[in-house]
Order: sequence, then structure tokens, then C-alpha cells
Amino acid sequence: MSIKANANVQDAAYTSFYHDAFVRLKKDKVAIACLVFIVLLILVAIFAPLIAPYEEGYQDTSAILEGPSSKHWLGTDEFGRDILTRIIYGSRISLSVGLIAEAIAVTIGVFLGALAGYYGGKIDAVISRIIEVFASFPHILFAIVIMFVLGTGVINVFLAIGFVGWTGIARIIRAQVMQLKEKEFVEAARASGGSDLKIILRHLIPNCLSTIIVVVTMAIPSDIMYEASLSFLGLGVQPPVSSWGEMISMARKYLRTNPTYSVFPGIALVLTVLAFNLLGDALRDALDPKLKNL
Amino acid sequence: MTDKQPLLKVRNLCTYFYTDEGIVYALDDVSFDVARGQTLGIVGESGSGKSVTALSIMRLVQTPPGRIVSGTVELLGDDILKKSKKEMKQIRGGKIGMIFQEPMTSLNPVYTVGNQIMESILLHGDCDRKQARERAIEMLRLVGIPLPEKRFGEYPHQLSGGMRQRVMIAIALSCNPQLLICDEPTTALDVTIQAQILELINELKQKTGASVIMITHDLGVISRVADEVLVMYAGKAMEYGSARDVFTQPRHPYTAALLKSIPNLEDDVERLHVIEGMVPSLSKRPAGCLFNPRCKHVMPVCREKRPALTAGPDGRLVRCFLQSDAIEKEEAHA
Amino acid sequence: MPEQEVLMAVERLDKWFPVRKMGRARGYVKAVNDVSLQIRRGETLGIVGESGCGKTTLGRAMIRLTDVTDGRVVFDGQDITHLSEKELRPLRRDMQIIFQDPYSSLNPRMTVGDIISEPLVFQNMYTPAERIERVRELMDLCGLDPIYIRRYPHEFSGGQRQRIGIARAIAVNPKFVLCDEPVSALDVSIQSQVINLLMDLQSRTGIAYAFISHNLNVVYHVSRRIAVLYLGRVVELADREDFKTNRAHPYTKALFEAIPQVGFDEQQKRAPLTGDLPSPVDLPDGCVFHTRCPYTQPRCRTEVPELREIDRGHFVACHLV
Repeated sequence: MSIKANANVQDAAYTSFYHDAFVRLKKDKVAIACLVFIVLLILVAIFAPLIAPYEEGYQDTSAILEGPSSKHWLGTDEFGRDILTRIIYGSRISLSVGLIAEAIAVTIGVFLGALAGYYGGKIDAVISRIIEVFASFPHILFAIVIMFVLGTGVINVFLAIGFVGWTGIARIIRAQVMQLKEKEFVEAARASGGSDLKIILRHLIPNCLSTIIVVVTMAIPSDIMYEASLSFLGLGVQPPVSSWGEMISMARKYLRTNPTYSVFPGIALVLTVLAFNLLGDALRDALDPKLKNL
Repeated sequence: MTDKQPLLKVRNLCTYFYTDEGIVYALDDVSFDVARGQTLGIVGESGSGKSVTALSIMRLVQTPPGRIVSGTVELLGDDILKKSKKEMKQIRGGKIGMIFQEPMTSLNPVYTVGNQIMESILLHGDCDRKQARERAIEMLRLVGIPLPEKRFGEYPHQLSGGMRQRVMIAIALSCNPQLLICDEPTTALDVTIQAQILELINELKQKTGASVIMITHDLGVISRVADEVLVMYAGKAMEYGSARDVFTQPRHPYTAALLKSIPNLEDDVERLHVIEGMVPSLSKRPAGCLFNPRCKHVMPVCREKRPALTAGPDGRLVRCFLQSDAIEKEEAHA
Repeated sequence: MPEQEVLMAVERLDKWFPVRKMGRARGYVKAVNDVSLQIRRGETLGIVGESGCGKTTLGRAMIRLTDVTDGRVVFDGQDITHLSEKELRPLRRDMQIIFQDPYSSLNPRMTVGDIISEPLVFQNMYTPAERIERVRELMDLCGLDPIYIRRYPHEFSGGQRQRIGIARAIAVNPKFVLCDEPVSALDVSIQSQVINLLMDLQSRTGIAYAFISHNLNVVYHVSRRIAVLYLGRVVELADREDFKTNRAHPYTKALFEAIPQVGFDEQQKRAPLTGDLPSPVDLPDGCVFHTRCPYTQPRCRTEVPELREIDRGHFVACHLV
């Protein structure tokens, strides 16, 4: 009996949900290009000292504000620092802002969203109001206020952006948990004596995972932009640490004398943001076709 | 099956779905007739192709991935597979009415019930709004809805499931169709309501002289309403004949096993008869007879050759080597 | 019925859901009203009724997946009506549930092994290694090949998924399993496989079932006794044989006559019941069935009929019987 009943399973190759999603993702050429770009970017950030043509902070006093040349591929800034080197080191800040700030946002968002969605009632009402209060401020303004309070510095940039960005994911997780908790497998877990915490951790959050992945990929570029904006406004990363936003901010003064100074960090920023956004789109289609309207 | 010209004549209808996993043979070489004023029951499990049959007749198969590959569907000698999209719109809801399983999703929640019946009347008949309104109320009365004038102005969510299905029937019948296709019309309803709806369909068939195709997985429903029955399995017709004969003396092992596997109040058995295994995947069909992996009477030939649908002396068509040695011709579209 | 034989007893149970409008309770959906019934060890009680008759709510209240408005639920001699979720936890080992929908009842992100072993994990039974052994044994018992232990639910058909759900329910060796429409979502040819499996498991382990279904044929086949529910009330409760030969309540009669049977006998041509179910928010006074009953008397409109024993073990709630 059992052999017969399982005949169809045998036909199908062993696949997990994420394997299927990856197969779908592989068909999307743009997504793969973006993925390759992001992986390369991460490698560049990790191995910056090996890749960069000059040491961080090296000043070539013979070449101030020069355009691209064989010595300095992307030119130099007002202190004679190599722009390519600074962009490479700047990718460290941009990526870690994306990852760490988003990790903070996801932790807060998933936790509060799951609580609100699972318990409903008063807990939901309170958390939902908090979300609304946070979401009603313009994000960048809110981040500026936090930076004023905390002071400038890399860690504070992470915190400020993380605190600003959790509301979106909290809302999505709340809605998804509300749907999921009606499913019979949640009831089955309750009927077997599972505690609320175990149900949330074993059943609800894993089923939100694909949503979380998609939301995170889509949120990273805006985090990178916030960091760039904060640094551009002089509230983020402080010189001599280089970040793309800070570079664009400094280059503003030399727009006439050396326009490429601002263009190259700008291109790096745009390409990175674009890559994450396109990958996010593709992941959404691959992981969860239902999220089409996200 | 009758000597007079049938209302609907379906011949060698094939509808395939072209998917990433390969070709899904959803409907493979199916032929049947529906005589005037008769009810044909199409019975089968999920994936048997019974709903695709209805969609193919209505030309509502989603393309792509689906495509009607070959065959003819003649309504009074006129092949509707050759009609233009515009002509099809007139036929759908005009000459052919259709009732779906889920009355809630087939009705538009933002329009009143009356509005939706009127819309169908205005689309297919030439009459003004006032006449259409009167006709709509008359239709509501016909399908046994109490206080039709009041119900006319109500929204679908204000009605019960049985009432909604009555409204669907009213819409389907509003243009005097010659053929009514019912796809699982009572599956979402309770038994006492189901009995009412089946009774209504039977009654209206008598009154209007329309033919009915009743598609369902419920053999009990079929045996209550159908004159003829077509048993489908994995996209193919397995047995086709008069309902009384097929249900009392099934000839195909699948029909027989299916009948035996339903619990029945009349013959009380200790253990239910079981059809082992499950419906084959329509993209990876077994060699030979499609039912052979689950058949109790399987013979070596069943595993190699596809049996043909052949007529017995009484005109009953059966696709089984126990009945006839005839082998199906190679599929032209594989 | 001797006390020690009774496993699950429901006494005058009410379950009402408040209907809120603008944040205030504006009445109640009276899903279950004054229901009393008992399930003996090792037997199957069938619970039938149409949608909205409260059969699912009644089942959920029995195993305390929902709170009870009034009345008592006694399981294995212990009053569990007001136990908290935490106090119920150890009792969950003895009462389990099998669901209707083989798709939504299995977590799509867990492997079959994890799904089946979950009750064992929650109940702290066996060591992790023993659990895997137990899961293999259960899969084998339920007609699934244990080599698929690491597969995900979406790789299985509806019938196989239902087997997984059954294996999960019996993993902890429960005394009582609530089967909530366990075969309604399955194909006809698969239904009989699952019904036979449930009955085999019962004869092997002596589990008691409450078998909820709208399908009378199925309930009649699996049950020893049957309770017929209408609008949250038990209208008839009797041994299965009585339902074949001796139906007493007009609703039961109509219900059984309404099932389309395969075959062609004339008794099927009876007039079907007219009208719709009244709204459970606004229940009719008197007998709940009087709005559709062909034999309604003035008394039926005012007086609620009690569930009376008309014959040994045959209970009916009707003034006319």
C-alpha cells in the first residue's frame, strides 16, 4: 500500500521551497546580474585593503582635484586622495548601513508585528498606534532628530536608520501573522499543547520568512540612501571616514573644477541601490507571487 | 446516441495545457452528444478533465497555457470552436448558460442582484430597461425566490448560499438558453439546499425544454438528475451510457470501483472498497490504459496498449480491454 | 451508561459569539445551545448537520480549543471547562484533532518528520532519536513510506497529506480524536482509503472519535452512534441502526431523504425541505426547526422541545414524537 501511495512523490525530484524559488530566480537574467553585482560589492568591501590602489587616507599632494588619469583612475579629491580608493572603502559603510541598520529594523519590526498580529485586541491596538506615530514622521526628519540627540558617528547612523525603518516591516508582518494564525496548522500546534512563543517561533515567523527577505532587500537601498543623505547633510559619517554620501557632499563645492569627483560616488550609489531594488523585485516574484502589489 | 440531431455534438475534443513541466493532457479525445431536453452527467474526480470540458465548450480555457488542440463542438450543427470572439460573447449567456460552483465569487458584490440579471438580459436580448426589469423579476420568481421585487434590489452578500445559487440560475436562464452547463452547482451547498436546487434545475428543464450538462464528482447527484452519464478519468472518457445502466451495471472497472467505494445507507458494509493509489499526473501519464496502475483486473496488455472506447451491443461505450480488444489509435497531437 | 465507560461528556453546553457593531456587543451568534452528549471509550460518535449548525464549534469546545459560554465539558473524569491553556497542556496528550483541509493544516515550511513529531516535542515525549523512530513507525502505520520523512508537504497529494495529519494526531497515543470533516476535501476514490485507515487505527488502538461531517453517508458508515445538530441544538441522538429504520425527528427524516443516493429508487422523489436556515443571531422561538418543519403545531412556535429518550438510547427533541 505505502509503496503505491507514494509513487507520485518518487517521480518528483526532491525539492524544498527555497530550492524552487531559486530555480525560478535563476530564470531572471537581470536578477542574476544584480545578485552577481551585490556579491562582488560585498567582496570588494571585505577585501578593500587588497583591492584599493592606495592606502586609505593616502594623500598625493602632487595631484589635487585631478580628473581621471592612469595614476588615479577616477581622479583625486581636494586633499589629493584617490577617489577609487575612497569609493572602495566607502562601500564598507554603505553596505554595513544597509545590513546592520536593516537588521535592527527587522528585529524590532518582526517582534512587534508578530505580537500585534498574534494577540490582536489591546496589544494590537497599542502596537498599531506606536507604528502609526513612528510612521507619521517623515523618515529623514526623524533620523535627523535622532542623530541630533545621539550625536554623529557610524554606530549612531545605524541606530537612527534602524529605528526609523521598522514600521513598514512591522505592518506587513502583523497583517501576515493575522492571516497565518487562522490556519489549521496553528490550531494543530495549539491542540498539541504548543505555547504561544513556540507557535510564533516555529510556525508563524518561518512562514513570514520569504516576506522578510523581500522586504529587507527592498529596504536596504533606502537605508543606503538615508545614510548618504545624512552624511550629505553632515550628520552622518564624519571625515576622514569615507562614505559615498559624505563624498558627494564634499564634492559639491568642486562641482565646477572637478565634476567627476561627485559623479563617481554617485554612480556607485545609484548602481548599488538599483541592484538591490531589482533583486528585491525578482525575489518577490520568485518567493511569493502573492505579494505582487507590495 | 439518439437518431435525431442532438443539440450539442462534441467530437474528439482535445484540450492540452502547455506548462513548464510538460504537456498536461487535460482533455484527450472526448466525444459526446447532448440530446434536446436531456441531461448529460459528467462525473469524475479532480483532474479528470470534467471542468475543462465545460470550459472548452464555452471557449473559456485560459490561453496560454491551455489550448483547444483539436475537435469540434457543434451546437445544432454549427461548430462553435470556429466562432469569432464577438460571436462567442453572444453564445455564452445566450444560447448556452453556465452555473459555477461558488455562487459568491461568480456574482459581483458591488451590484444588486436585479442589476446583474438585467445586465445579462440587456446584453443578449433587444428590449428596453423597463422590460428587462420585469423579465428579471419574473426570472427571480421562476427560480423560487420569495418576494422577488424586494430581492431585486439586494446585494449578493445579503442572500444565503442557496439563494445566490438560485440567482445564478436565474441569470443563466434569463436569455432562454438551449443548453445549461452546471459545473458542480451544489458542491458548496448543504444537502437540504442541494436537494432544492437539483429539484429546481429538473423542474426548469421541463418548463423550458433546455438541455443540461451536469458536471460533478458526486455520483449521487448525477444519479438523481442525469439521463446519460459520461465517466471521466485522467482526461479520457472511460464509460458512456444511460445513467441507469451505468450505475446499476457498470462495465468499466473504474466505474465499478468508484460506485463500491462510496459509503451507502442501503448496503451496509464493514469495510469500504478501496481504489488503491491515486489519480495519475496528467503530464506523466502511465503507458497503456490510464487506469491500469489502480485496476484490480489489470492484464499484461493493459500496461502496454491504450484501449479504445468501443460500443457494446446496447450502445454503451466502454474503454477497457475486458470489454473489447480494440486499441486506441496513436494520438496525433502527442 | 456506566461512569467509567464515558470518556468525553458535554453537559448543557452553550457557546455564543458576540456580534459587535461599532465596538459594542449587539447580540450573539448562538452557535451551540444546550447540547449534552457523551462519548464512550473506543467508540465513534458521528456529529452531522448542515453548515452553520454549530458542529465545528461544538467540536472545538469539546477539546477546549475555544472557551465555553456555559455548561460543562468533562474529559476522562476531569472537568476541563475552565482550565487555562497552561493547565490544559498536559491533557492535550489525550485529545487530538484531525482537520478538514489537508493544505492549510500542515505547515508548508516544515518537513513531514517535523510535522508528525511536533506533538511529541510539545509533550516532551521520548528522546530526539526515539522520536524519529516513532515518526517512522507512525508513517508506516498510516500508509506512508518512511523514506519520505524529510520531504515537504507540498510534494504530497491531498490524500497523503491527510495521512500525515492523521499520523500527527495519533503520535501521542491519544484516547480521543476529534475528526473535523476529515474526508470532505478528498476525492471520492481517496475518501474510502482514509476512512478505512481511521477505522483500522481505531480497532488497533481503541481511540474514541468524534466524527464531524456534513456527509451523512460517511458518518453513517463510521459511527456507532450519531447526533444530528440543527442550529446549535441536538435534535436527535441515537444508535446508527435507528437512523436507518427508525428516524424520529422531522429534520432527520428530511436530511436523510435529501442525500442523493446512487441507484434509482422511487423514495428519492420526496419533496425536499423548503426554505433556508434561519440566522443563528436571531433564532426562532420555540423549536428551532419550526420555520421549515412540515408538521408545525402552535406549540412548536412557543415551547422549546426537550431532548427526550423515546427508546433505549434514542433521544429526540420534538413535541410530536
